[in-house]
Amino acid sequence: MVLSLDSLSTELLLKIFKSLDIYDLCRLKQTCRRFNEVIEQWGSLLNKNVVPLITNQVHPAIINRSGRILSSFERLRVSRNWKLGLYKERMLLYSKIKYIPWLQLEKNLLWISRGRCIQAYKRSSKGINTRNVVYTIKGSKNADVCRFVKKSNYILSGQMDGSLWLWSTDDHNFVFDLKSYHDADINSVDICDNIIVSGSRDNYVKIRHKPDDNEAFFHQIDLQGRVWSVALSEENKSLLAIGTDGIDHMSTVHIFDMNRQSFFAHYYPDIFGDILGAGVLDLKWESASVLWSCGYDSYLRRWDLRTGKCEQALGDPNFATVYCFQYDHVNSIISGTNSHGRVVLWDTRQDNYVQMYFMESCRRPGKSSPIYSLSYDADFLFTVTDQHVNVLDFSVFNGTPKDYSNLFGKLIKV
Amino acid sequence: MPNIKLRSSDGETFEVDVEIAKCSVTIKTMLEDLGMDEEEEEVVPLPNVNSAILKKVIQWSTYHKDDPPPPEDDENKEKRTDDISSWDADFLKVDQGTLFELILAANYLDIKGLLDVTCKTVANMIKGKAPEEIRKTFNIKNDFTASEEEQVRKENEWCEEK
Repeated sequence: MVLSLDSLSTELLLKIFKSLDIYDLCRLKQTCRRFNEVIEQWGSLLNKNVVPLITNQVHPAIINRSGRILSSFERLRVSRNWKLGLYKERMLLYSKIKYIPWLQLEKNLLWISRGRCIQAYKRSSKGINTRNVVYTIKGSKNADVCRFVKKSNYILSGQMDGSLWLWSTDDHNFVFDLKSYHDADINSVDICDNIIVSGSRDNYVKIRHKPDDNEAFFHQIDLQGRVWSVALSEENKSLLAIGTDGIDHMSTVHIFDMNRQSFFAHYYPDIFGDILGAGVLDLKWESASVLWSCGYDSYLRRWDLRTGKCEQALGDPNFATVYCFQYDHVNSIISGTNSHGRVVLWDTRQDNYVQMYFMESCRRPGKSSPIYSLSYDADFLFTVTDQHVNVLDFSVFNGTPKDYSNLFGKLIKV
Repeated sequence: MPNIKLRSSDGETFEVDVEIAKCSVTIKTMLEDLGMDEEEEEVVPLPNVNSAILKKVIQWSTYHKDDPPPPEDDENKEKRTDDISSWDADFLKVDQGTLFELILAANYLDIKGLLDVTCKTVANMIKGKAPEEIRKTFNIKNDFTASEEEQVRKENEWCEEK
């Protein structure tokens, strides 16, 4: 018997295929069933990018918001689309009124707050089904939602009139509202197990338990500056990160230890010149000891609690304020900036950005808007601007790439 | 230099320098684990390798006996295929059957250098070819149904834009 290529074991085929690029693999997939299956199943092992950007689907947090789980080869293909800027854009919702919306992505639903309404839309192969509204939640009669968070079965919302609302999605039920909880807008909220945290423009962060737990537990912290963001650590339940405006004090990132009821650390950006006003707009924990922040200083910053320093700073290529970001806990970050509906893709293994995307709806004169919130899974990037909810679909097979990877030239690290 | 004897699947015996035989991690471990004494007239049976292939393997190992050990695979590094030496290229000018037999033998005997170079040679035969050309080169049967083939072709259309 004469041996042939298709008589080799999968292990040996993979050894051979390892030296091929994605184009050769594509052609090889078209030759016969077995090669198609082997490459489909093991594709990402063949590429140097063992953990592809955006499409890696490694961390539970990203799996929990992924509409589908991609095959190995699809991960390579779709990741390439993200890097090239190859996508199809759809405008999902439009409103005449300009809002400051917020969104949160889950496996089956997209939660969006606009005005005084929080709504959940069913996800579909085109992004979302705009006619399939699964939940509609309304809080204060006369005040908009500033920020909300959906975690486990609860939705916590902070309103512009300083009231705090909690709903349960289990039985679709209102749990409580605390009127005049803060004296001004509640800019950020978070919930973890039974702890509820809110941060407000009135300079205070308030910590309490869910109503069915210890009613007496209550703590408030005076930050001596407006509070823009709060984030509870999932891994170290006693840690709370707080981002402030940094107008009267240099420190903008504060770590509060809830067990000891005292601050663990205060951080300020280590940059030249006047750093006052480098307010922190969004915060996310990478692990129990690592925290990411973004804000008015135009940087995404990685703070390490063990060294007490900013260990990595990713500067926006246009020096713009970074309003929000999403992280996949591996190496991909997407940040939303203050104008032209501009979104930036980062690979944390390098200091330069990878790609930029502009929302089509913000291109027309006078229509420039910040990206107020965004989220993504392997296939889709969802963004909200003042008037639009947009989706970029990266699972496409063809089209013309919109490549802005070199728009501002490459920056030298400061 | 002590020699050892290797017996191929078809019963032919080859006498080789122990150092050359030890290019094969499989033989090396066999000698160490079994404590085969070099004094004894021990014969190592290699039931998975025939004499024609074993001859080629010994020829390759003899030429490469003084090579430094190949580096561990770095997953983050792109595999190059244009770094095959001219001696290896000449050595591998064989029919496809022999080439695949060499891959199997190199894999069984655990000779990393030979496995790498044979796999790269096959990869080079695939590179840049259209699906139909690949089928022809390797005599692969197209077992897709017409609709499946259309589907796969559509899914992979984008790679033709290059």
